Amino acid sequence: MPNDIHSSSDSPRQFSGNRRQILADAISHAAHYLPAQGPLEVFVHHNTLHAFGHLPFHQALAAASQKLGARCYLKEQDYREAFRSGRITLADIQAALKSTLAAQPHPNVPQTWDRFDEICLRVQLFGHREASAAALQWQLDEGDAARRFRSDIPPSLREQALGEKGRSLLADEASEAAWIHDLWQACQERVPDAGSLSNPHAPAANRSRFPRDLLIAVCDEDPNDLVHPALIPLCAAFLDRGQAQLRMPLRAQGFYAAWCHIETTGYVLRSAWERQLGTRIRRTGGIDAETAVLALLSELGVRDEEIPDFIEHALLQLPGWAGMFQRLEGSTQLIGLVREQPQVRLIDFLAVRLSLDVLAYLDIAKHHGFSGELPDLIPYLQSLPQLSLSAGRSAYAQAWPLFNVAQLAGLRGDELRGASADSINALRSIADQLDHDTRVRIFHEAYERNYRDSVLRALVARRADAKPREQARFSVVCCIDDRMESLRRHIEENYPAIDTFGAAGFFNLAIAFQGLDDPAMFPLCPVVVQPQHRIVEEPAESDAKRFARRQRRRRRWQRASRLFSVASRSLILGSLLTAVAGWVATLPLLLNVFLPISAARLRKRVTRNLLPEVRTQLSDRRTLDARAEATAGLFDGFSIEEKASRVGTLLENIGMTQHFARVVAILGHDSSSVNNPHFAAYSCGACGGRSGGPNARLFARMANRKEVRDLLRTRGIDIPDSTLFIGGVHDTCVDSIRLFDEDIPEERNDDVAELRRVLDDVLARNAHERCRRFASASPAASYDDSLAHVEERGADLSQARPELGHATNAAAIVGRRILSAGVFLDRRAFLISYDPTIDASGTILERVLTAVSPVCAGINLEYFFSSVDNERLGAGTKLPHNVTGLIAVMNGACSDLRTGLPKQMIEIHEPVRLQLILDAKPEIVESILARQPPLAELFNNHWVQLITIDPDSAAIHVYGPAQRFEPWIPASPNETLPPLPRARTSREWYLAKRSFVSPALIDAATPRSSDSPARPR
Amino acid sequence: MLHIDTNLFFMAAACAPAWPALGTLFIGILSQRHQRAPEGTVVAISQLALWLSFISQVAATIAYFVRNAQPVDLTLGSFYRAGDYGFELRFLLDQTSLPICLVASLLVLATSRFSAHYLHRERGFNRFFALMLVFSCGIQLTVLAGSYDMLFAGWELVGLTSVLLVGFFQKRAGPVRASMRVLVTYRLCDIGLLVAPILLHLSIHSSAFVDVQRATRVASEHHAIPATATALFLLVAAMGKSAQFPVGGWLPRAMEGPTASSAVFYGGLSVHAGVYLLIRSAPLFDQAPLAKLLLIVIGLLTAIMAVLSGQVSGDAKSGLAYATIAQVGLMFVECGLGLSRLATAHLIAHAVLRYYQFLRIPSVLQDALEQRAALGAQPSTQPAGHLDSLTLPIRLLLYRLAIERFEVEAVLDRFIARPVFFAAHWLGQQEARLAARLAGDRSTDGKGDA
Repeated sequence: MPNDIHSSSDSPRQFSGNRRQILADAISHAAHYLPAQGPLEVFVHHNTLHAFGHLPFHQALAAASQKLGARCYLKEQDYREAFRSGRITLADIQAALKSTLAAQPHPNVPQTWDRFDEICLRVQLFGHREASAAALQWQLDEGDAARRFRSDIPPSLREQALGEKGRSLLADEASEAAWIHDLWQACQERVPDAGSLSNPHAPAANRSRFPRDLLIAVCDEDPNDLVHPALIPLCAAFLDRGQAQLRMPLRAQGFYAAWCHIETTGYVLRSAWERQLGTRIRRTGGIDAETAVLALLSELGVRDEEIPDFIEHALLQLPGWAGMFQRLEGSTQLIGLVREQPQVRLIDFLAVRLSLDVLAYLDIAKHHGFSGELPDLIPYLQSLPQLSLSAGRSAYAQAWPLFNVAQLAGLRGDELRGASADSINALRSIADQLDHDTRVRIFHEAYERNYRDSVLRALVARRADAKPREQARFSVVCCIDDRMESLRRHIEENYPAIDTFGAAGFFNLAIAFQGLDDPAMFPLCPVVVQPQHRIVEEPAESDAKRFARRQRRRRRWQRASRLFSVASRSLILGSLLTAVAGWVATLPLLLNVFLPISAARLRKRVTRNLLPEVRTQLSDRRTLDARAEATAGLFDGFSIEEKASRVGTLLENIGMTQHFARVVAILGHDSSSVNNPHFAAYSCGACGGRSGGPNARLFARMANRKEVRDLLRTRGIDIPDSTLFIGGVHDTCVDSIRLFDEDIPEERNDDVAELRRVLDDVLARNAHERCRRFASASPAASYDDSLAHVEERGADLSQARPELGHATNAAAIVGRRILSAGVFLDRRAFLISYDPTIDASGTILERVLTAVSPVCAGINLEYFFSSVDNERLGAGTKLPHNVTGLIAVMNGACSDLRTGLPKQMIEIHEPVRLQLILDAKPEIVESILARQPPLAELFNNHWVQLITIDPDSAAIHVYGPAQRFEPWIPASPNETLPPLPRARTSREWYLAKRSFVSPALIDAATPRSSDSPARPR
Repeated sequence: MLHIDTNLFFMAAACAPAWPALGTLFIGILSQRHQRAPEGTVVAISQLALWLSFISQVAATIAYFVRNAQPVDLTLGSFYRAGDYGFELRFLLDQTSLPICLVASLLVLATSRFSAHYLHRERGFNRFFALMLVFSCGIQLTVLAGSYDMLFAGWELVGLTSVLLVGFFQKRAGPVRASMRVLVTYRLCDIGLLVAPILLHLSIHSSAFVDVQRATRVASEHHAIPATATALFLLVAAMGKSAQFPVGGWLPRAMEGPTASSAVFYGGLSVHAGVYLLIRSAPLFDQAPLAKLLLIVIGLLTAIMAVLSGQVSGDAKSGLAYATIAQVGLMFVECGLGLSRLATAHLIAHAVLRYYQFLRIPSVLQDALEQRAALGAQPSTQPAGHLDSLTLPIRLLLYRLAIERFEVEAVLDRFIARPVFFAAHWLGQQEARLAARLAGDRSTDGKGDA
């Protein structure tokens, strides 16, 4: 029998306030390390490792990989592959190596030795075969490591690895064996403690105080295997927002209380390991979760100072579930689907988890000879002899790195024997300094440097031959989204009379919006902003009847479909229903699987006939009575002054303050897909993972109002009466644009029709460029084929990649379009319009950066970490995903909640930190950093790489590790590189290329290359 | 003239399972040759194989109706003979097997189409398609089989592929463990399907369905089938495959495979194989009232437990999996009541519906949001609130039973799995000790613990 808690020395109800405080602090501390992802429909990109944001990037990654057990860079072999394929050059590696080694203490290298740098480079390129003690032993005793040159370096690379000298050393097998054997002997002689068995660093796990680690080490059984299948279905049922038809009773009392009630009702047989559960709960009787946790901690003998680590460890067993409890704590308005609101608290989860944990610990330990009670468990496990056996010791561990470095240095045994102690130490220090983690870091730096240099080179070249643009006929304002880069490029390339701008896709309108078909009000603005204005989409008065009819039918249809899904899961009704519906289901099943496009079009047509389209308007007028005051922190719509200020600010931000075009299109974006729980991750990041359409529509409407324009004139922005704003929304998956043309005056219909023509043409080109990345799209597809292809992707149930989202995003350019127009950036750059010529003080830049950098950095870093370790920091492959509680996805029926991005979203991503290029003077940026601590954290710690291009002198500066702007020095000087690629059209440049395409200059004046095919259409 | 033609069609239908088998062979060779066989080729091979077998079945079905819907008992040859026993390649085409086979082929065909996009770039792409073709071959053999011997062959292919597909993600612990669970359940229950034909062979020297039917009709003194025993053994086999109480624990665990395979294997086809076996064995069960009673009891128990378990499940796939088990339980009841026709119709309709529901399961969130938009804030208060009228303790108890799956697993674990493990462990220790003594080693204790 386990200890009676009441009879133990400290009764649970009498824990000192101090210990309670320690627990509370420990939980709030540990909660930082849990994923911050909310329910799926409000999916917002954020830095996966936000908890480490206060540390410099590389340091943070090292800390995170230790704590979370995740890999934070690509694999070393991936970087080597990039080096082989030319995506990293030798010059990049040399530059990164130099700057990294410069930051470390330089070893005392003897004067006579001039090859130090060269050896470092070789070690960087080829590593020094880190191996576990056992593997090492095996390689030396059973393998031929002591007779043959390093087998990890293929013969084709030996020359590169060894230089000139290698040829004589590796002349034939006999000389190779003689050299290596002798060298190994020499290494062992020269390393003083090579033969001894002392190794002060026993693996950390062995000294762990966590029962789970101890049990795995001692018994090779994981208590989680017992606990999780019992715990996870309960968590799912508790947090459920409408999946289960029978809801957990007593959810309002919190998870722990509800669980206690459920577990103690009635007599039911339990699994052997949790037999004592009912007795234990009954004995403690009605204590709250916090007290229960404290009691369990005391029972396990956890001391005050160990509590933080213990709690953190316990919560990180199921970070997804713990994170969801933490995320929903106190924000219950997100759970709007059920009548009885559950009371969500992280501590409840912890209490249930620990209650089950201790039973599993005891059960496993008892099978392995433990007969005591809980307090004795940890000391007992720690005392077992199995733990001390596995301490890694090796006679060879000391000489091995030297041996490997010496091989790369091409040293012979006699040279090594004759070398000075300093030389030997220098060689050994190379191995120490360039350990695996450092090498990977250097590779990564080199990889980023390569991309940065290629973009900057293209921008420099563009600037040299930039031509001033004429007065634009139309302007198109898109979101800053990297996916808009190609759209904008195609517009400018084919319609020189149109210019384009990029603004964060909420268009400076932080609103809480409810559309006609929306279930609730959602904030349409970046997550860091709290919306203060409520906008509702209402049916136009003329359409009130139509709307009522539509609502009625919709309600009827949804009621029927709900009844169907409920009934198909019930018993008697279900059997009647399946007998009928089963036959009917054949048709949609076959259509959806075999002819997805036709099925989608049919569905659309049926929907249109059944549900009449309703003309709508946005309720943006502030009512003038007393109710104008905010309800629930929200104002109804915007006042005229607010409208003018929002519009004016955005126009200033993007530098559109004069020379207005006849038509200004404002395009938000959205993404349509089916069978895709991660749909929100494809939408507009600046609108909280939702459509930016309402913002664009509202903005155009505001900017068209005469009163607003009058006010704007006083601010110095004179919008001529001939200028028409028109809102729209771009579906980035199927490449279609819907224009909101409801209040366009009739005389402007021609303009709108022309805009429509232009957009349709450009969308086809955009779809064509996107298709180069889709394996199932034919490389020879015409523009129309491409459009059909992307349409199918948006409608196909089997399509795990409706679009590729932000994959490959790598850069952001804040500045005038003249800086980047005509540069092929391959949909990898966020483009943010900003005009430094009207912003001498930097206030506009400050505004732009504070709004834009967290959004871009969040997207970039989430893609980064999801792709470097998709299993631990991402969601893994989508295929086994199972939507749970309408909140998140699990693998199968019982796993942790999978947060982050699924494999299908990131597989073509190239993890590169955001290269944020500013069209501004370094001093201005430095002064902004001084004023904005959140930005400073991002940039000073280099989570985003900051680069400035001086608007006047075009001098380029890079924000260096010393938190200062330093002049940009390309890794390889321009003269040594092939000339920058140029092409007449984007199409000519990307055609027939399926993977990475380097930046190029697109210039119609480029002489036509002979092989460029005619445009098929 | 017409006779020759239709016979050819029937032969073609009997050969239909060979096409996917051939397809597997091709994919196997291709994967051997190329480290990364192109996905397109693999898809093309499987589509071709599946279309061929589907078309030949359509032809046979048409021919069947042209010939006034008379059951066709077809023997294509003999696999081997040994003494009295011969394994004949025997097929039975009738109004039960042909429609079910058509639906099965159609669903596998849809799966191959679906998986072409769905599994794109997945490690194990070729493996998935190869296994799917083996599965198709197996399910067609099971359905078209003319004797228990043939059915057993198909049955085992279905079982094997199910195990391998549950463990599709070989590098993860969960799926592999789940597939072991499936394997153990199948192995144990398949003993039933192995023993039943042996009993038949011992009594009437044949396991062909037509012979069994004849034997049950004309009860003769010499060749009396031990009907109750045979039927009970068949019941055991059907329970395992159809995830019935108390051996149904594998199904919800098996959900960690790709969604496409959950759809076809558990939602659509595999779980219905048990029902099909029962439908085929109806003449036998008619002679065994005890077995029929048991069938009804098990079916009902399973249906009630599964419906409640499904309705409390917080995740979409478990909910659907339990709903499936519940309907299959009802099919058991129908078989127990002797309503074979009804069970057949129920089976086909249910297979298609669940298949579609499983394919669309990633959409549940989008569907729920849409529903909520149309209906307002509280959609889940209504129809299934039927527990709300009960008093709290009863609600709690029912809820507890449902969420803990009626403790079936716990009981199995406590009273079967653990004792078996302990016994095995103890025996192992004894053996080690004995071996050590025989080897003259004195440190017996250390050996025994290791």
